[in-house]
Amino acid sequence: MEEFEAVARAVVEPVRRYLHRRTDAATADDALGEVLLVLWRRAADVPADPVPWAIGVARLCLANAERSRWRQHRLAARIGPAGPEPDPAEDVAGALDDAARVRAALTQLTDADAELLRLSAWDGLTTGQLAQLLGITPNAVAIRLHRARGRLREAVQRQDPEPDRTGRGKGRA
Amino acid sequence: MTDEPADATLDARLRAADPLPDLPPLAPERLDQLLEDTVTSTAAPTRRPRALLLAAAAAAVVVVGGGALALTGQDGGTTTLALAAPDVSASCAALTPELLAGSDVAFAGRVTAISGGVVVLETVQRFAGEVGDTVEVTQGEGSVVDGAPITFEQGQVYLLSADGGTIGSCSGSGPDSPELRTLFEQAFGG
Repeated sequence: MEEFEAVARAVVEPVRRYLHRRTDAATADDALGEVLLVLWRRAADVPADPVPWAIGVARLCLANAERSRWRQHRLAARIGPAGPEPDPAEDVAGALDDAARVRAALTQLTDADAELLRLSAWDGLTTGQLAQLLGITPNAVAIRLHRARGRLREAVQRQDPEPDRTGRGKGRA
Repeated sequence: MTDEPADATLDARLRAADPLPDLPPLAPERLDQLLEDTVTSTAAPTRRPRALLLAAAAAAVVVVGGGALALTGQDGGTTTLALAAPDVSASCAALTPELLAGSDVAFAGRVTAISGGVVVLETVQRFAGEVGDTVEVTQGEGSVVDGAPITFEQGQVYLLSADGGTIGSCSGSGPDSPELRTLFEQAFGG
């Protein structure tokens, strides 16, 4: 019981952020409840670093939620890798405009590549945690990350033919 | 390679693209309530016997349908197996040689090819059952959580056990390790 509480308090915010980044608030709340239930029922299986494990559970809960929605042919548009609705004000600022471009580029990658980059950059998982989550070696994580970054860079360039920080102001206007 | 300034720039742009940089944490009383709801909404932790879990997993595979999901037996020396669908709410009973010994087939295989969601393994050791020289398994979506299918990697050797043509989602299968190998040897007499 105390063990469960300690683990739950350690993982609840990373898991909430993971879920809210990827789905609507109601689905995220439901999935968070499910994750906590799994943590409670399976306290004995939780490894030393519970965060990747709990995110792994959240990932499966979300996948199950998506699958049952897909089956029911409803609410399908509310869930997806694009995450929460972007703030309409963001087009105003150039920096946020770039964020929208990067998010659009992410959708051009394979699900596995995009998710690896999100887990690393957004959810802040270390190489070791990613290795635990994905059940592969840290070395394999590093290689996959390197390749995924390369593909993202290409996709960003397709979104914006001008490379960042260079090319602007060059040539004749 | 990975530490080029271009990578740092790309990572910074990626972080700036986080759609949710500052979700406020749950209020302490809301969190307390959530934890209380969790522990009162269900009986104390339970463990389901592995056989039941496998049956459930096998049923799930049938429901998912499509693809090569059932045991098609040996065909020209190839055995086809499926990975059980994820079942995160299941709790796996601790793996014992006795439980493992109930598997229809058990073998060690090295991944020789992964393509189109199908993993091809070359059988390197047979522990139980009829196993072809090559085995085809549908690739799982990776996670180390019990209840999630295995994600196979090229060249790696795996110890695999299956019931009814389905590789269970509990820990009776996984990358070759001294611990798992000991269990296999105890279960099948090496």
